[in-house]
Amino acid sequence: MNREFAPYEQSLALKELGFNEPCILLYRGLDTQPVCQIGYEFKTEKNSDYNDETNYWLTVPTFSQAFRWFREKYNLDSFVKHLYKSTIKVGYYFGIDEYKGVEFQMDFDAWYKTYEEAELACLIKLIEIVKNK
Amino acid sequence: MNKEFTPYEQALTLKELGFDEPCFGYYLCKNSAFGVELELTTNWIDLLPYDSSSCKAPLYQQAFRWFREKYGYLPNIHDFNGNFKATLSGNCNWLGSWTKTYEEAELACLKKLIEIVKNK
Repeated sequence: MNREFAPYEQSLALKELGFNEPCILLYRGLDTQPVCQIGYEFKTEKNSDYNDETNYWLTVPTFSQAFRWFREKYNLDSFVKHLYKSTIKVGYYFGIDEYKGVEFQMDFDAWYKTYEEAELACLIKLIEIVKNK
Repeated sequence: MNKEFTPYEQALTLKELGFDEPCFGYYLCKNSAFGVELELTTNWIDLLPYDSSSCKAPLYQQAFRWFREKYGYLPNIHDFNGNFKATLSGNCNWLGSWTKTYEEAELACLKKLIEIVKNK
């Protein structure tokens, strides 16, 4: 289940970039695993709910939430696809479209054995693009 | 956050198809004085007393992962200048219709995946 969520480092980078969407999970202090506010009601929290500059409490987006945020806020549309070589599936690659800037970024030499590795690499690249804007 | 979860109808069908992964959300279908109530909750224990109409509520990305890992179908939603199109690649190829929102394309893609697996 944890693979649905952004790792700590990327969750922190997203917060620094202004990510403030409602999330189910939180990183708490030095805990290595995110925690969930279990309750009868469906409960979500935003980084601004804590106003915590120490980052003791840090919300954890799902990968799709993070990708949605980049798509909606920065028009950065990303995808992960199978990579084939001579019709044999060898792994996965990711690509990023920035349609308003007519920029297309894809590195076909960079490919990954698993979908999850490509997904994380894509998120790291999106963070890098926005940080350097 | 709720738009990250698959709708009830598709979640129930996923259950019928054998989806049984750990989830953070659950649809509770309970009969009350006000009729049938559907509720999204994070408390799985609440599921136990209710009938077979209750089910887990997978995230879209979880459902898509399940289809990818179990059947080799790889869904993608593409944004073409604000118009969206779902595609399936891998063990099947499919191109969806144009939609106005990402969420419509995502739902169309999930429905198509369900249809393909149901007709297997």
